[in-house]
Amino acid sequence: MFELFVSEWERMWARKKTVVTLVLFAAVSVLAAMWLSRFGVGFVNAGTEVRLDAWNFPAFLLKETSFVLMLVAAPMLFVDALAGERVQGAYRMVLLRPHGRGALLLAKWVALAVWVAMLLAVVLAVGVIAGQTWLGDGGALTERAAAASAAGLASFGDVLAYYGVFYLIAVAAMGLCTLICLLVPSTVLAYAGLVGSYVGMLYVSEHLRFFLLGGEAVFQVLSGNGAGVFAMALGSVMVLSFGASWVMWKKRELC
Amino acid sequence: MKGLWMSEWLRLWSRKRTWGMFLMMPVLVYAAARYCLEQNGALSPGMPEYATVWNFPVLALAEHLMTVFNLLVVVLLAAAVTEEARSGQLRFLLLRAVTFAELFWAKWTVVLAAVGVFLGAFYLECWGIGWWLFERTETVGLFYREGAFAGGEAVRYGLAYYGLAGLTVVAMASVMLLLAVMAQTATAAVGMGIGWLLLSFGWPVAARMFGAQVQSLSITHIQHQGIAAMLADGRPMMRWNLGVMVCYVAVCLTVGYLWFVKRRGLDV
Amino acid sequence: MTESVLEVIGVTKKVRGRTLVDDVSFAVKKGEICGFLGPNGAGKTTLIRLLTGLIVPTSGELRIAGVNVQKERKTALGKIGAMVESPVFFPYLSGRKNLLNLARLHPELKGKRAREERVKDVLSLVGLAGRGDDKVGTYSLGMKQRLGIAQALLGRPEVVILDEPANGLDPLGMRELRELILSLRDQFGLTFFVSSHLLDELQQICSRLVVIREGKLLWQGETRELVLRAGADGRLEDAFVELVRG
Ligand SMILES: Nc1ncnc2c1ncn2[C@@H]1O[C@H](COP(=O)(O)OP(=O)(O)O)[C@@H](O)[C@H]1O
Ligand SMILES: [Mg+2]
Repeated sequence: MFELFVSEWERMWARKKTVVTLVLFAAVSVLAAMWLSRFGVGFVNAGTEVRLDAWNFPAFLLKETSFVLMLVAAPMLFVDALAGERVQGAYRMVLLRPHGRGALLLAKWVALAVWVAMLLAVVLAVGVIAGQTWLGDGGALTERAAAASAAGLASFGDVLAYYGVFYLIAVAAMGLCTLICLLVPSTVLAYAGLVGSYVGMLYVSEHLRFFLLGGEAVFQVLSGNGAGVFAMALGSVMVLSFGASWVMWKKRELC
Repeated sequence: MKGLWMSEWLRLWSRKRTWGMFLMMPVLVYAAARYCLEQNGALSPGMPEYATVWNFPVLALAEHLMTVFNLLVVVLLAAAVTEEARSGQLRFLLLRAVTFAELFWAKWTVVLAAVGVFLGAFYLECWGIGWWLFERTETVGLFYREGAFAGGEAVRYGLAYYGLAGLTVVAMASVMLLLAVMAQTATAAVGMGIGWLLLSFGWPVAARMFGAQVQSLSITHIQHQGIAAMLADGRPMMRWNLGVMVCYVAVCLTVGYLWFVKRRGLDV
Repeated sequence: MTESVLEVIGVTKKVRGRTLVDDVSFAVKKGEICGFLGPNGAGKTTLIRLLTGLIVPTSGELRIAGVNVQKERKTALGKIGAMVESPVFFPYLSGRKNLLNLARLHPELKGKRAREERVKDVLSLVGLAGRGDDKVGTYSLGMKQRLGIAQALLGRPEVVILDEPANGLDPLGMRELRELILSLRDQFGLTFFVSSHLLDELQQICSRLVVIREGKLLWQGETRELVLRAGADGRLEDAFVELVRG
């Protein structure tokens, strides 16, 4: 299984786009950090703002970069790995090797999940460094308390929790993307379908807004509002999309 | 050239995806109408945001669906340019003594024509659904304009609005064409397109302190606020915004054309 | 009597109401080089995709060395090396890197050393030892085809299945391909199943031919039977064309 993963991982980096995406994403994170630290306030949601300081900065930075992550940096790699390789024909060489289909899909999922973790690590690193460099550590205690109640950020552990919950959302998006890539025949359509389904979910229910408005949704979860509903919604999307794609991947004619 | 154009045009409409997107439009218009009805509860009649039969086509486009058209050009161009070039389909065309230049202009104008058809259909669908769901008030308010206006005036305003909206989509499409020509894969074309859209959304926020003109370098900003500003009393932003759009089209088409003709000749 | 290592038993494949392969049966014996002939669109690639477990038959059974491809896919694939349609590699990676990546998917090649050795071996088998470190993007069509054969050999297969390997090769490349297949058969006792839409590409090296058209088995037998059929003065090509025309 480990070799399967490494093989998948190597193929991911064999596409020029992967390196370019990582570099550009890091650049976007740095620019966003510059802008955000100068701005000095972070928006928990449209109505609530919190003064930024060194320790809460990474969370708000992720909220700002979340659009680029969820709409560009992650899906581009998802679609390439899950559909592009098959459409283009390179994946046939892999399917001809003596492995179960399930194991091959699992290797893809693990590789993509590591990719998403890398993206989040970049934002976190930029956030921590930029926060320490450009912002003071000294929010007044009252302000800290305000931030804690509004954003659910009371300690660095909460910031990590913020990243953790966001990570789950991105992984759910990967499940959704797998399913869409199995349903539509072209990479352009798969990509557009993923973005369309983010938006569509917004219309279906307010509780499904986290794909498009993840930054805001995670603040709400951390501050203890509707965490249960969130877990239910995210969990069902994950179970349905991963389950359905698992079954389809094993049954479908992949190339 | 005419034969090439027709074959590109028919190919576009022979695809299920084109029809799928076309048939999605009424659903989106209906969703926008429900949203506007809900909003009306919190507004008083006579405000420009208050939806009536007369201004619904403008509201639907302005508040919600401009982005749909931006995404539409991303998808159409990524499919027509990048996907075809990379899957070697262009080679068949080139065997039939079609030059890259002809192909470039055919693709560009076909996508523009398709967007025109989508926008026209969208306008009519707004009327149909609006007629069914909204009141036919005596007068209606318009953005950045003093006074109340009769229905006929609002319709004329709406047509001007759609004309300018069409221009913004042309400007957006020229950027997307350039990206689609440069991209190595179709996914990269879509990714770059969406990245550009995000940049366009972010720009007016980041450039707030520099004023409306700098903000209006973003086409999406023109779409969200610029068109209404262009049609406001005294037409304050008309020249500037048109200038920005013309620049986008001129620069992107020139670079895209040269790139397509020079580079693609090698690697198809 | 040598055993059959590749068996196709009453296989039918239907896709959305269209019958792409229609009740085809044949077998290939160990050490044979079997040509799989048919005009474009005959269903050759479809049958090869069935044989390699990429798709599942509507009815019938396919066996490799006695192993059912559908029921024991993994075991069967362990015995096959295949190239289905023209091979697609990563253009920015060297031929060697491309193969090393695929070698990871062979459980029997344990460890970096084993993989590197094997890749080196197959590269020199197909005559690419000198160009292994060049990017695939710089390869000619013939070199890509040879790299495609190299990747099929990675797992030391018993049966090698090649889909139109002669596509796009010039006469010299074709001769090299024939010599490569023959030498691999002689050196390692491999069984070959090689498709083509042209008879004369294969007739010299194939001891057996399977001919299909529109998904139906048209003729199968020893190459020399076809020669007999063509008569003393008749050309083999004519006999084949006659067969295909029906
Ligand atoms: N997935 C599919 N769905 C429908 N038709 C297919 C599919 N794959 C192949 N075909 C059709 O099956 C026929 C045989 O194709 P193929 O096996 O590729 O032929 P060959 O390799 O002999 O040239 C062709 O007419 C082709 O269009
Ligand atoms: Mg074929």
